[in-house]
Amino acid sequence: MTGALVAWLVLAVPVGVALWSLGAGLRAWARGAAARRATTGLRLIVLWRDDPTPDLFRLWLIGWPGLLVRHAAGQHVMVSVPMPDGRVLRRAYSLAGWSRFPLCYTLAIRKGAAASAALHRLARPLRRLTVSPPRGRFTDPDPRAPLVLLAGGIGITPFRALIAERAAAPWAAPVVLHHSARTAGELLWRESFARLSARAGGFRYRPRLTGDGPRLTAADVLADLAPQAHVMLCAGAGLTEDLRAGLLEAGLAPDRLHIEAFSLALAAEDRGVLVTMGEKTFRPGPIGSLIEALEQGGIAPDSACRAGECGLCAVTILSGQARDLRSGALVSGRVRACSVLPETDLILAAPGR
Amino acid sequence: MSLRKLHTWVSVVLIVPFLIVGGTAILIAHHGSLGTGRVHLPRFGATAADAQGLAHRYELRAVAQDDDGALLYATKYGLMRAEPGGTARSADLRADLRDLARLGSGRWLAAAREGLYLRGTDGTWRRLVQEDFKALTVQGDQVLASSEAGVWRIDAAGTPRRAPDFAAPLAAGMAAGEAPPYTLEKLVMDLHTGKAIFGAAREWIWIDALGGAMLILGLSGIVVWRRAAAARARQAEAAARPDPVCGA
Repeated sequence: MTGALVAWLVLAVPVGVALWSLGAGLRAWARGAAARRATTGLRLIVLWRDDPTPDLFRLWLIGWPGLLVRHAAGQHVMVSVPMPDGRVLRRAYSLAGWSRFPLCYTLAIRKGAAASAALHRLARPLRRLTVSPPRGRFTDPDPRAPLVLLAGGIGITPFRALIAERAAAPWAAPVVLHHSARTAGELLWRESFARLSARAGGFRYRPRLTGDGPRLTAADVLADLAPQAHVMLCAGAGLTEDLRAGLLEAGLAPDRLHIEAFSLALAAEDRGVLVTMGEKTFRPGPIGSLIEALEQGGIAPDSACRAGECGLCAVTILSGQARDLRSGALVSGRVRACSVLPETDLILAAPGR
Repeated sequence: MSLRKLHTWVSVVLIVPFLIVGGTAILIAHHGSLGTGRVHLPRFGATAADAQGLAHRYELRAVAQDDDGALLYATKYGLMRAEPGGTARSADLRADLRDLARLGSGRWLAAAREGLYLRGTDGTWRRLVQEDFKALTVQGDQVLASSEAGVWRIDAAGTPRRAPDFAAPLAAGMAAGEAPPYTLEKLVMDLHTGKAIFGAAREWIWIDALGGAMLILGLSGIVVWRRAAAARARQAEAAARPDPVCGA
């Protein structure tokens, strides 16, 4: 009896406490690691890079060690780009590939200006980049419903992932991809899409060169639009607005149209509103978002992603209302300046309050 | 990976075996006084499926046959007896047996860690000498029993007497330099058990101190690590919590 009691005290109790602590500690560690990844991002290595055109480049990023964070097709990552002046800008780039257990992330990027141009210079093989975990809601709305994808130029990136995800699900409904680009070089993955279209009955590929020809219009899309189909759109501001207006006018239900925009700002127009922040009151010129108005007034907070993700440009609306560019709802209080457009005169809390 | 992280993760991964080694060391050092050998754990008992390992499970040390044809098995867990054609059952001698031998009078002797046992004419066993006996040797109608303390001669009637005539030449041999060599292996073992520092009788001090330290350090370490991990997780989650935006 004494032996059993002592064995219980020096063996069973310590091992039991240790197992419980081990489990609780490992769960806490995993939670902390996930939270840290969400804050500081993943440190990924550029495995390979290619430049299909002078303005477009693709990156293959791997993690070390192990698998990368799983993601839904259509999601994007925020890449932190160190600038020559010492600032670090964060830009959102769609993941141009999908796998159940991803070993690498593929990005396709237009060189553009600022952060993307800096990334074009520095992203060489073996270079480490800080990348956020995948996020975003531009994902397949209903895999059992037909899907029409409308890509303009580099807007093809999230759709390559969506097509891969549907191809992996035999029960998924058909997909039609319209890809519009100025030059043949900008029709990224053209050969692989053409091969998949020839092989898989559930996928049709409709590339379009607009360098010398007409733009993609809503009428071109309507021919492929099944009654229950969803439409996903990722393109430049002009093409996006034309297609959105045309499709809604043609009777597409708004809840079946899904638009991705990394810069949430609309085409600039004069809103005729007064903006007050602290002691300064001014009337901005043409603007596409509140952050543009604040920049015109010289009182803009820091901003990075301009896609409503990083939260750097958060301001507080004390009086008046703005329209949320994603949901269309009227909002006030704490908002992200890149994600809203003034609808009335606004009084904003002074910086730091 | 920094040295601190290496230390932490090796400790975390090996914490359970670390505690098992510490706890079992204490139990082993005191197995006699704690009586762990008498605590039966039926769930872990041998089954028919273990038939090939029977000798190993019983730790069989000696076998013999009685006049009536019954088989006797001296095992670590006591004496087993099997009637002809029957199954072996525990006989009335629970001791850590090492050897069996028969006196000229026909009475059985059993050498055990707990002492030297003699079976009476009524079949019951009684202890003749309390020493740690290792082996028995039949010599004529007598038996020589060797223990850690020396050699005993048991006559046919079952009376034990010390046999200094056997021990004296050994002592003389040692004096003449014929003592068994003290090897590195033995030194390592004595250091490991604490015998080299506290002696055989007090080696439990060494074992208890180190086993206890392993338990205390292991338990406090894993609890401290769990608390730190939870605190870090809370901090990281608080930092990652987004600002409320758009009225959310």
